[in-house]
Amino acid sequence: MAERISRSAAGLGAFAMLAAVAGCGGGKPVAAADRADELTVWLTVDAQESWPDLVTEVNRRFRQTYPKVKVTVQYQQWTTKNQKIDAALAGRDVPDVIEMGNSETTNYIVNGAFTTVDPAKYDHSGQWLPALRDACRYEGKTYCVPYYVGARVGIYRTDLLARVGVAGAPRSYPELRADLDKLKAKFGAADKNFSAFYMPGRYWYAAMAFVKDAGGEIAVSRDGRWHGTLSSARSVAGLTAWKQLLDAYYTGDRSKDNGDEPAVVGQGRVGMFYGNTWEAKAATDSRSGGDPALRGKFATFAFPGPSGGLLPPFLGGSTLAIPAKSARQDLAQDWIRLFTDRTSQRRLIAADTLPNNTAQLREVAAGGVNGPAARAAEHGWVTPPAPGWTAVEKSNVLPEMLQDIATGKRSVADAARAADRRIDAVINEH
Amino acid sequence: MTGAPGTGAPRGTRRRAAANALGLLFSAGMAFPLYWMLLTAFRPATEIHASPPRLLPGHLTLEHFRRALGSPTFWANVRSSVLIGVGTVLVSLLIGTLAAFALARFSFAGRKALVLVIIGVQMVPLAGLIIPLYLLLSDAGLTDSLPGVILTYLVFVLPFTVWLLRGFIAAVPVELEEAAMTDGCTRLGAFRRVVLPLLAPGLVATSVYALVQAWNEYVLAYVLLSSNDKQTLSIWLLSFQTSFGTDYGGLMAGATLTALPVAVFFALVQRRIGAGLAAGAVKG
Amino acid sequence: MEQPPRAARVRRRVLPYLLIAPTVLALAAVLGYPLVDLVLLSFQGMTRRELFSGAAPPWAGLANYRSVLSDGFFWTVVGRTALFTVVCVVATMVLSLLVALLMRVVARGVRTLMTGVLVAVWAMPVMVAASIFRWLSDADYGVVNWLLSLVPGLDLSKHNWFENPWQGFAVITGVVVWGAVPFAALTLLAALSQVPAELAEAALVDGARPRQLFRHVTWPVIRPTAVLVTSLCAIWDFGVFNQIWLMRGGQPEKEYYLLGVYSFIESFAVNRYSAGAAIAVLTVLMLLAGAVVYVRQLVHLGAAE
Repeated sequence: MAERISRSAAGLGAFAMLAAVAGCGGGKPVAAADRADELTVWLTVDAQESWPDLVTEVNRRFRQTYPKVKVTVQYQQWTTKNQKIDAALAGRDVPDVIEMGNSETTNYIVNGAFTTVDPAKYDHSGQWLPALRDACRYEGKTYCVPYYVGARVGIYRTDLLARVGVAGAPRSYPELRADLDKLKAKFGAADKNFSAFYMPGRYWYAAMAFVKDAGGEIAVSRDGRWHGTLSSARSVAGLTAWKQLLDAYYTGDRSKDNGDEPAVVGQGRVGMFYGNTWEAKAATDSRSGGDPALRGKFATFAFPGPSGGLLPPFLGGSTLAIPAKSARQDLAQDWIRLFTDRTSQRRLIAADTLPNNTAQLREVAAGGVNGPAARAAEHGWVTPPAPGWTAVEKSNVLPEMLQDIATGKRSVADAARAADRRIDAVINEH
Repeated sequence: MTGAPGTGAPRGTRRRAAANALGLLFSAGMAFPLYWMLLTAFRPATEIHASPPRLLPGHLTLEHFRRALGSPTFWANVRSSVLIGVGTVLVSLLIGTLAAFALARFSFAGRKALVLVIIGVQMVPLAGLIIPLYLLLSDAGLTDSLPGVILTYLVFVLPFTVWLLRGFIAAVPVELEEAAMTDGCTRLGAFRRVVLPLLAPGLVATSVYALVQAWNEYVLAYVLLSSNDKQTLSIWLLSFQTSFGTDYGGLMAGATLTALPVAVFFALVQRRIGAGLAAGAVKG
Repeated sequence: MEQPPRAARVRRRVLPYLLIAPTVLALAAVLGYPLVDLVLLSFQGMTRRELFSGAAPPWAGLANYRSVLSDGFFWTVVGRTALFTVVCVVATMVLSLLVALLMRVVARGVRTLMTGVLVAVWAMPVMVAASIFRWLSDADYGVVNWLLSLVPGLDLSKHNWFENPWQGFAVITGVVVWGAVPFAALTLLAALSQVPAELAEAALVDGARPRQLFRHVTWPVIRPTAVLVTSLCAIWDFGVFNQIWLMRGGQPEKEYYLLGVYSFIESFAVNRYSAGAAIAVLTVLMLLAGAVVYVRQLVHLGAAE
């Protein structure tokens, strides 16, 4: 089966290369400047919300080479984009560039949705972050280009911590808990809705970081098959540590995910939380329910884990892929090349996002708001690159397990065993 | 006023008062979610998430509406919604009336089968049809185009349209038509002069139904329309749920704006439905 | 009439077919093909590979049906869906009928108000309705918890309505019924206005009680409408998707699967397109079987008067 896949994928790749060669040097020499065409790019809304100027700028640069190519950028929602992508990829009129989350790519690659790309054409491809690079690789070939990454860090209210007499961010786990205890004692007593630490029950990116910290894994591959390993001793230890933190410091609803985090934090009843750097900003943005009055009262820190090291963050990131059915793969490659080059990455860094490569990770100011995230990113992890991982994610195995644990409906071990069974059922499916 | 025997005036009045009170209570209960929507749309973001919630309006603001109206694709989405809504209504009325007339006035082979199909079609769950439908429209070059969406919606509203209109046509006495025919009208001529005017309330009710369906649907529209500026208002509302969290103020302001045209249209035609039906009742 | 009778007869025979042609063509083209596709799909083993490449999926025979039907979870979902449908339909119809009857007796101002509210609710997109109800029943900021906590002895602050599926479904039933009542009540009200006033008066003069009046005079008139509305509600509620999907934030827990959601998840989340198709086909079959009584009545009703 795997052999068949790789062969047909290779066939597609070769076909794409032939097409590219024909376009460049062969039969019909059409100068780039005379090429009249349309290029459709599907990005997620992050680009629209957080770095719209990058898109404008790249399109401007693209027009310098291809003045007659019309680039249309369409923005998709994360939560709903995949059913649309599935339908579009099945049809005729596919977009030429698609942004994919790094935990979603494997299934599409395995099923032949994307064409191969040549890493050598892209800036810093030798130093791409492993979290993104590995998501794009399958059987030795590269099928997408890393775009950006985010790493979660600790975020705390500087003013609240100052009021309990703590000057800086905690540097170890015991120190963290001591700070939280102080917050809880001072503010929790007066307000039963105050959470020293915000950790909703279904927030699986956070909980899995504790699993990783304890040396556990979500799933591992043995003899070519994937198995859920949440019920291993180490994973259970990590989940237990997570549950203890939640029990001790979180007062909100346990069956929620962090979807309304900006609103909760914006209410001012949270001392610390764990999230992406920009989530602190969201908590001060009234559009997401935050409170603008809290501006300037948040700081980030590299979150210490119970094991003694930094809590390894999930590296959630995006990649850009070219559908195998696209008729303009050469244009798509050129557009992606511009969109991910050194200059563009610098703009992303300016928008408080982490770049796609380790070289530029060092350009992130260590003292800046994103410094701790850049530091944490070096220890980051990604979801298992298993063919059925998307199915695991979309059938909500992890959030449901965590909710059961958080609400006390099941013991950690029971819930983890049940989750493993559900993972085993779908993780190997293509 | 029907003075039932043995019902003294005070008792009747008391009953009436109780009925009125019940009606008010019901209205309040039904309207509460709407009230909350408006309240959320008009109050400042910091008050939206206040706990405990405040039942009465405090500060009012237009910031959410300003943001909603200022979103880059809003007016384009209004245009799409209107075109799709009006298109669906007009086409479904036109071809639905023809089929309804056939069903109400003729007996022909295959009639029962058609009725069965019309009823059965409504039972098909949409989820299963998304990809086949997309592929079909993709082959026809109708994805990301408003006519493609109209055609799709048409199929989903037609069965009910035909069914409802059939009832209205059947309620018009055949004798009226026959009288017109003896006066020299053809069958269709009689239909146009006699049945159609009496059909007005039915047409209004049908267009209300078709409009609601077309205006509110979002799953198919989302998959079929990929250009951001071709999408409908229902999909536009999705944009208030971002990775930054749900913008409830914006969402509720957007929801108010989305529901407003339909509500106004309903309010306008509601009278007609009532008047038309009253007229029909006299005839019946 | 100058036309030769033969030609007239032919035209009379052909006319109905011409009239239904556009409807039939539209249904056949836009729905027929996808439906056939759906049924075919349920007998195949379609994966994303075939979906993306357009290659023909391998034939699976009855395997999808066998695995779906032998799965205990499927039957749980079926039972849950049936129960949900019954509860929603009964609640909708009873409430709507009461409201329609009530609207006949209240003062004109109250009636206008009730109509206005019903119309406004009717105009609410499902998506908006679901967001509002989700917002109302929110565990941390929901006004429902707060209001109920005002009742002495009841503390529902931070109560999560969706943790217990029974309570969660109560909220979902609320949205569904709330959204369905306007259509049902206004339609029934229209039907009620067809009850001849003289007939009702005569009955009352003859000493009929309100209950008898309803049973012998009112009900026979509105019955066809009530049957139609009931069956439509049943069909819609059986296939309910949007409300659950939106109320659970696009990630419904397994306890919240009804057939529509289940089929969607199998197709789009787990990528078992064929299993999803099989569930969709089974849903239609069950609806047809369950509705056979109604269908027969409707077909009968549809017979030329």
